[in-house]
Amino acid sequence: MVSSQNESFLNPQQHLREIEVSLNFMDLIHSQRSRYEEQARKLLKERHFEIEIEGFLITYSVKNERFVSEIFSKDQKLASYESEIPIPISEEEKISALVEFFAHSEAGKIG
Amino acid sequence: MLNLRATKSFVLISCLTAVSSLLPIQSVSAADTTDKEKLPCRIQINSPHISSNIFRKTGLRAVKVNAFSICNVPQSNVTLTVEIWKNGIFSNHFVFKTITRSVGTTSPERKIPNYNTFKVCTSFESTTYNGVAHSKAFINSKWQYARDTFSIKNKPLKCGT
Repeated sequence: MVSSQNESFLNPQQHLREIEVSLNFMDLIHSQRSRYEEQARKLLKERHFEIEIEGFLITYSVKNERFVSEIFSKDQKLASYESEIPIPISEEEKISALVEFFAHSEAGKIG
Repeated sequence: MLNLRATKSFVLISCLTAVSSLLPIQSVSAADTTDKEKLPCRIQINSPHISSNIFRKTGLRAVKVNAFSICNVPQSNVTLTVEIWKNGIFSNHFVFKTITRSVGTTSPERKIPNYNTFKVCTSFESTTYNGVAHSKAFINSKWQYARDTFSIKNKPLKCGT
């Protein structure tokens, strides 16, 4: 069941922002999948890497059995963000989880 | 401009909680915010839900938890952490965590939101999730920490992750 009861928590502007983020997320999952899969393999191999996208520096790392992303605006005038997810067991699950994780990290802050 | 009465209350509560170094933040779920006396600072968190916005716009089902921090005194450099956990047989399992770090000073009554904590469902398996939020802020010239604020009314969702 999909509930809208809890979303009275958000005001109209925040509703629009939530929609924007979810659309960004969906678009990124599809349009950037090959880049994300490549990034996932890189992260699993090197356990750390950084990318710069549209004025944001994004650092991905493996810490304490979690995948971690940290996002900073390069001019440091905007809020910064961090996300963590648990690391799945199988390689296939790791790649899949990271693709979603990368899209989530970029969707909320970029675009 | 500071509200004098609120400032006095804040100082009093700060003194009472100084030993534990905890910010006097009221734990409030989305469902029960109307009748309680508001403390100067609070975290508000709603219960885990499947986002209708995300579903309508993308077709994806995702479990989501929203939270915000709000004070009636100025707060600066606010860090608001939101986590989603799912209930397990022997222990709960970590699902997702996001941290928002605002810059500069936030005016009284202005919300510091963290509305970006969601995880896409991978199945329709019935799962009970819970949300938890905590924060850190620079208030009245010192760092103060808010204890964990838990979501209530955590119902099983048809959303395996």
